[in-house]
Amino acid sequence: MATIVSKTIVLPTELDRLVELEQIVEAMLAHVPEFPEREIVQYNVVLALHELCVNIIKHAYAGQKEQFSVVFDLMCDPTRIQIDTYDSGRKRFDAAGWQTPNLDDPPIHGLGVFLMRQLMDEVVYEGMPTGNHWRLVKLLPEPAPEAPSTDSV
Amino acid sequence: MNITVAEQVHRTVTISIKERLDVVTAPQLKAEVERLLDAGVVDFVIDLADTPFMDSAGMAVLVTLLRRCRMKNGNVKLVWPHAEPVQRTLTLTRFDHVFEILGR
Repeated sequence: MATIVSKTIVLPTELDRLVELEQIVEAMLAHVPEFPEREIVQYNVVLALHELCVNIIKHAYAGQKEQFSVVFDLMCDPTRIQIDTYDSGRKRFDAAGWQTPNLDDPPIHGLGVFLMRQLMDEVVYEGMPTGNHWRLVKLLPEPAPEAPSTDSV
Repeated sequence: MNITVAEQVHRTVTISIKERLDVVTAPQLKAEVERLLDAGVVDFVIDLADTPFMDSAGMAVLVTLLRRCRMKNGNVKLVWPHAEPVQRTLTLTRFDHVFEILGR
């Protein structure tokens, strides 16, 4: 389970800074050879991480001016991107009480965590004495097989 | 000659969203639809054809608008996005069943 590349950033609790996550995820995934549905996988990782960070800013920190760290790891066997966030917000996520929303009557709140869980292969929450730790993992599709060469030897 | 002419003018407002619809921009959309609701509009078309990114905050504005319009016998229709990831988000959340979809 070796790490191919790792990056840590510290984000302020400013919603308009979240757009920066897209470039970071894109740069991380650029280390992986071409794989199917790259654009969709990248979008899904960005959206899941975006939702997580919005929750941290709006709920864990309740809008307070703070900062939190995001650790990106691109790993192999299997190839995947793992993202860990560590915040020192006071509010804990009620993981046991969370329920899948009724999508026939979509709720106004609660779709963010649902999206995170749908878009990622693994979503883990850990409440710690110092704050909250989330882990998002997305397995990357196997690279598309190369087309057989038509050159004669 | 006995002629009866009845004219009904049906007002539908189309809002096109060509940038990110997310936690930063959703309040702008919310304010705009609030203004239109206050003006009596109950039928909307939200054009997502060129929307490149949408998060749950943007979706919350759409759901709220749908509920308020349907309470007044109105409706909200969505123009199906070109961006495949946005399409998948709408499918995952079953918005494509809850809302009437145009241009799919």
